[in-house]
Amino acid sequence: MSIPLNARPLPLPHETATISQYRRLTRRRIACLVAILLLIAASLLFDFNTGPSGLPVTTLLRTIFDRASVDEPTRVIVWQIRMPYAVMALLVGASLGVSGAEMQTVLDNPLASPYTLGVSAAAAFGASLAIVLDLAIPGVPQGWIVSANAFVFALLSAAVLDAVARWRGMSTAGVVLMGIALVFAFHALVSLIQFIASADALQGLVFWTLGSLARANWQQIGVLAVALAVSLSLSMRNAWKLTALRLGEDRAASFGIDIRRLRLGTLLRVAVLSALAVSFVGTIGFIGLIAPHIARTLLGEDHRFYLPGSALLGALMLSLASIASKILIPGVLVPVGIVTALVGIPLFLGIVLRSQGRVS
Amino acid sequence: MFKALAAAVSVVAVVSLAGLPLPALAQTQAQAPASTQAPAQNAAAQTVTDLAGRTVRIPAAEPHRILLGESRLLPAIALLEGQDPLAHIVGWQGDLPAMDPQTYRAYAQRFPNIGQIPLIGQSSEGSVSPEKALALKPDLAILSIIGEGVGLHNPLVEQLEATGTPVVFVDFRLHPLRDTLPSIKLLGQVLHREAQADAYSAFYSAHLQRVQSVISRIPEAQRPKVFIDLLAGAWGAGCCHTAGKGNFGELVEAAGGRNIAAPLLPGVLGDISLEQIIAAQPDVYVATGSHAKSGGLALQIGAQTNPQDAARSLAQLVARPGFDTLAAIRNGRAHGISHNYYDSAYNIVAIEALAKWFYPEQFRNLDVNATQAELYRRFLAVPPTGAFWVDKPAS
Repeated sequence: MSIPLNARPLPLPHETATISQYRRLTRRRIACLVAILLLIAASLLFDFNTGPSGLPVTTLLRTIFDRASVDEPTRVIVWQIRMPYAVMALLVGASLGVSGAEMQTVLDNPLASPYTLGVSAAAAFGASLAIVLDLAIPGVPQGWIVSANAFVFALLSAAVLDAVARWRGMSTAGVVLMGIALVFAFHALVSLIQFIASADALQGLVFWTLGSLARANWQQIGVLAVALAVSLSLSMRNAWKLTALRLGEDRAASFGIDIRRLRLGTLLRVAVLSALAVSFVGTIGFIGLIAPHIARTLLGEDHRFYLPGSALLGALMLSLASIASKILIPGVLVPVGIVTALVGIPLFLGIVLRSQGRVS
Repeated sequence: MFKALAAAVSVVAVVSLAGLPLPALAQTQAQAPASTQAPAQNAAAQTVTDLAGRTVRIPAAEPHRILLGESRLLPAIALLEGQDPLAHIVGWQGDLPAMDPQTYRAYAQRFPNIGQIPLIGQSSEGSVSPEKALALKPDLAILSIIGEGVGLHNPLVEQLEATGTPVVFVDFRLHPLRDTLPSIKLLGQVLHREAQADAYSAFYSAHLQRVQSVISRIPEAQRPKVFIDLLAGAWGAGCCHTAGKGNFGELVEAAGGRNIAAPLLPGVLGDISLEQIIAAQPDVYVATGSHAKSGGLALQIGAQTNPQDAARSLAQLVARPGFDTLAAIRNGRAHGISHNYYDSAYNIVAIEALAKWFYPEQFRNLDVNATQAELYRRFLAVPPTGAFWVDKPAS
C-alpha cells in the first residue's frame, strides 16, 4: 500500500523548511521532557534528604547500600519512611497527571480530572464506609480494607461515567456534567456518614480526605508502579489516535479511528489508575487538573509528548508538595493534599503568565 | 507556664471556697456554700459568670427542664445530680451515643428511658434544630464552649435568652486543667447543687494536689519525654496524629510529662511522622482510643471493654512496622488510655494514670483504680465498667 520512500518526489524548498522546523520542535520537546526529568531527580533527592531526624546524606547513602552498617531506627527511617513516601509521591503524581491528561482529551473538556469528575469523591465515600461503618469487602486483609473500599467506589464512579458516555447521543459535556453531579452526590453521602461517626472515626475520615503520603508502604508502591507502567504503555500506543481526537471527533473518525472504543478504553484505564492512586493516599486534587494544562503549554498537543509530560509534571508537583509538607512546619506533617494546591498554584500561574494567558 | 497553670488551678480549688473573686468566676454575690445560707438569701436570683466570660442571671428556683448542648455533658452533670441524673434533662444532642456509645450504654443499662430524651440534633452544630430546642421550653441551657454542639455564636443562644431561658457555657475540653473546677462550680450554682459541686471540687483538688506535690519537685530536664498517639490506628496504619499544647497534651503536662509534640505543633492537633518520633526517642508511649469493637487496628478501651481486648489491641498497635524501634515500647513503657478523658470532668483519673506511668517509683502507692472507684461510688449513679487504661509489658 505505502509508496516506497525512494519513489517520493524531492521535497520542495518550503517543505524542507517545515520538516526542519518540525525536527527542531521535536528536539525542543524532548529537551523539555529531559529537563523535567532532571528536576524530578533533584526533587526526589531533596525529598529523600528531608526529614525531622536530620540524618546526614552519608548515613542515608550507607543505609541504602549497606543496610547492616546502621542501627535499626535509621534503617526504619530510610527504608520504611523516607523512601516509600518519596517514591509514592512520584507514582501518585504521575498517575493523577496522566489520568487527568487523558480525561481532558477524551472528554474534550479542560476541566476534566479524577477530582472534578467524582472519582476522588467516590473513593472518599468508599473509605468512609470502611472507617466509620466498618463495612469491608469479605476476604480483604486488614491493612487493605480502606484502600479496597476506596478503589471499588472509585471504579464504580468511573463505570457510571463510562455508562453515560456509552449512552447514545450523550455529548462529552453531558459526561462532564454527570461527573460533577457525582462529586456533589458523593460529598453529600460522606457528610451524611460524618453525621453518625464516632469521634475517632470522624477524625480518621477527615484526615483520610486531606490526603497523606504517610500511608505509603512498599506493597502499595508495587501495585501502583505496575498499574502505571501498564497504563502508560497502553496510552502511548494510543498517542497518535488521541492526538487526532484533539482535531475534533469528526476528523478523527475520518482517519478511521473508532472513537467510542478509544474513549471507553481510555476511561477504563484512567479509572483504574486514578482509583488506585486515590485509594492509597486519600484525596489529592489539583494535580490531575493542572499538570495536563502545564504539559500542554510546554509541550503542545502531540500526545507522544503531552502524555508523558503530564505524568512527569504530576510527579514533580507531588514530589515538591511532599517536601513542602515536611518543611512548612518543622517536625510536623502538613497533609499533602493541602500543600499540593499551595505548591501547584504558583507553578501554574508562572506558566500562565509566561504564555500570556494562552493556557489550554 | 505549666507551673503557673497548675498553681492557678490549685488557687481556684483552695480559695474559691473562701469566696475570693476570681476572673473566670467573678460572682457578684460571693457566698458561703449553699447549705449554710439563710433562706432569705437563697430565694434571691443570683448572677454568675460562665466559662465564656458571659454574665448570666440565674433564677432562684431550681431548674426542672434542662437542655444540654452536648449529651457528653451528662457525665459532668451526673456528678452533681445524685442517683437520678436524667430526671431534669428535657433534651440534648445525640453526640454521646454517637461518639461515646459505651458510656451511653452504661447509662442505658441503669436508666432504660435514656433513649426517650428528645434530641435537638446529632453530633454536629449544623444538625441542631433551633425550633426543637425552643419547643422543649427549657428553663436552663448548658452548652460547651467548643465541641460538636451549639457554640457561642449560634443564634440559638440569643433565641433561648429571648424566651427567658438562662444559657451558660462550660468547658472541659479547651483547657481541661484550668477549666474543669470552674465549670463544676458553675454547674453547682446553676443547678443549685453547690454542696455536691464543692464535694467534687475537694475530691478533685486533693488528688491533683497529690500528683503535683510530687512532680513540682522534679526539674524540667528530668521529666520523661512522652509521645501521645492520638486515636492510634483509627485510620489504618498511617502515623501519627497527636496533640500539642491543649487537649491530651495538657493532661500529659499536668502529670509531669514532656510532650514531644508540644514544641512542634502550631495548633492543638496535628500530624507528626514516625521519623520525628523515632528521632525524639520518647521515654513513654501513650496511645488513646475510644473503640469497643474488635477487628480494626484502633485501641479498644473505655466503658464496657474487657481488659483482654484492651491489652490485645494495644499489643497490635505497638507492633506496627517501625514502632518496635522505640525504646519506650521495648522497655514496657507503652500504655493505652481512653480518649474520652480529653473532654471529661473525670480527667483527674487520667492525670493520675499518666503520672503513675511517668513516675512509677514516686507513685508506687498511688492506686488509680481506687481513685476511679471512689469517684463512681461517691458521686455517680452508675458503676465503672470496663478498662479505661491498659499497659503493654516489656517484650
